[in-house]
Amino acid sequence: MTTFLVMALAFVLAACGSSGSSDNKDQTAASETRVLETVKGDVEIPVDPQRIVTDYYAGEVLAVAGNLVGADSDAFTHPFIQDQLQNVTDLGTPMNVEKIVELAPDLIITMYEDHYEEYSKIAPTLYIPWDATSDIKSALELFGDITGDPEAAAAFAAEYDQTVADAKEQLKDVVDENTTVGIYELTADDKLWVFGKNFGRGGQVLYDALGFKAPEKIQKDIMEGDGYSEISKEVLAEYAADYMFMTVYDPENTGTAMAKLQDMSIYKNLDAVKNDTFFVNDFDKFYRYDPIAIREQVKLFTALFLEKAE
Amino acid sequence: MEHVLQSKAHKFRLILASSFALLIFTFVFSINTGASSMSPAEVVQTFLGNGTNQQNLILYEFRLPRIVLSVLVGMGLAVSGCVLQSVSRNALAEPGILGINAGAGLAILFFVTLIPTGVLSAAYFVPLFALSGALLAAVVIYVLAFKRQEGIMPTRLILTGVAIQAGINAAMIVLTLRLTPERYETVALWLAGYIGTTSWDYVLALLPWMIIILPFVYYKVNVLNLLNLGDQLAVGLGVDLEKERRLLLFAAVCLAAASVSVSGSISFVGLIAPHLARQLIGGKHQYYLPVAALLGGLLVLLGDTLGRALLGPTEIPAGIVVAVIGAPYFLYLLARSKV
Repeated sequence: MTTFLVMALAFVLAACGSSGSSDNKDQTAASETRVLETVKGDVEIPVDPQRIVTDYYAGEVLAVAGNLVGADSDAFTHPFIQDQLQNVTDLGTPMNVEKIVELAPDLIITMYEDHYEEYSKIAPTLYIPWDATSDIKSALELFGDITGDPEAAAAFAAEYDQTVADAKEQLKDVVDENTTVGIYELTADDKLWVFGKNFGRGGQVLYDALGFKAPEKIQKDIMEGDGYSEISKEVLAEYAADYMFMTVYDPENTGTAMAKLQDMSIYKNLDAVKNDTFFVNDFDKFYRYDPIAIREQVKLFTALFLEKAE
Repeated sequence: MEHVLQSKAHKFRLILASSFALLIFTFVFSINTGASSMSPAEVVQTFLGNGTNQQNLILYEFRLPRIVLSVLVGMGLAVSGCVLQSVSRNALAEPGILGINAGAGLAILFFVTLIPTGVLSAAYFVPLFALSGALLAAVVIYVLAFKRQEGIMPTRLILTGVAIQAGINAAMIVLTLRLTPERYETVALWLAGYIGTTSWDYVLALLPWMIIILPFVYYKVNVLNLLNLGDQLAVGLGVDLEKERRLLLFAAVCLAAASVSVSGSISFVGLIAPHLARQLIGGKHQYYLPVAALLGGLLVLLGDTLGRALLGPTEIPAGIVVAVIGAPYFLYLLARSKV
């Protein structure tokens, strides 16, 4: 949380208007710039960037209708933005600098500080650490400001609020409001993690948007702690919730870690397993936390709850 | 006798010249290779000052420093390997096996974990951190391998190195678990030996080490030759064994640490380049050090160039390409040797 506050302070975005377009009629809006104050000092960026390149933040940029021209390879496994990536170039992971140069971007947004100097040689670059925002609204606000399109950000926020309101309406009589939910992740090397609300995996959807509670143990140990933690499988029961959502990080798709867990009596004796409210969710769909992913996750979770209620 | 010596010197010049020619050839190939397609004509035009802004940027800011860095790193690691092999009189010695890379890696991990982003300029401070970590590892290994009556036993040096390395690697795994995703990427790429984030800053940070230490090692070729003869013989010929060992070890550690701090953990170069050189020209250090240095530079440059070219746009870290080239060759060497 402190990191977020520091970032919020550092990112007090100073929109300083245009620099030198008033006296020259030939200059188009695209070449107007403004100065943004960042942790890396002042950066002069276009008021209305036309060619944005980003690693990691493709979902954020597209949510505010930014003109994305290049993104890192991870964006191309993002299940909810595929149709918007038709004309976007895959730049590899980490992004290939020569490919970026060829795209002639006018704004680069990166999460990786290591590459900041390199990218800065190509175009104005904003370094935004992965924990710069803590919820969908502040993410929309930040990126709406960066791309010079706060209206698009506001429009997305309104649409999102509507999606959430619809979901709540549908769930009103289906799920008790005191129901507890928990988010878990199993990795291919048999490690078990519990997540709070700010680490993707649908945390913001369940706890913020839909307003469910975490079990007391998760509330105290995880949410009021680091926000995520590895736990031993033996204590999984202590972290159990009425509805349990698990993602499996298994890049090679072996399925053995999950099979092993399902074989354990600790798993079999969970109330959620007995009640059939233990869900294994698709990793790619659930682990992201950009505005588009979160909006879609609202629908996915709603569908899961409704399905169980039938 | 004179004839033999002359022909040896002649062979040396021939091999040195052909390694250099190969390096130049790879350099030209590398200059023309990249995710952005620049024809050789365009490259030449850019060098002549007629390039577009984009071409200048790609060539001068991204490709050239990376190429220079690859060559320097390869030379540093190869010479470090030569020295370690001679000092320990063990053909398997190289910075990676001796735990020096691991020491540097741990220090870099501390840098990445503990120093808030942007406080220190990474290009200049990472080599210093790496050096302190590598030196610390080297000192610990040296002290543990030291026995009062016998001094440093080469075998014990290797075994201690392997043990220390295992310990450091375990510590690194524990530390990486606690990293944020963005910092984890830095460390993971470093561990794979990735010469990706380059700029002239890194070249400038590495260059002083090379300029000071490479000539120093070459100045010590006769000591290295004597060390190869075995401890007793070397002492008998008037070498202050422990002092020279310490000095040379220190030089090897500095070379390796400075190299891996900018390139990440590239193993095998320090092992293979000396072996290749020795096969080509024999074990006299005045011949075999320069050849090994050139071959090391060639190997890393080739590795990085192939890594850039093979799977666009995502690159394969040079360390992995070098290992893919190096491992089979090394197995071949083992199969051929009579040991």
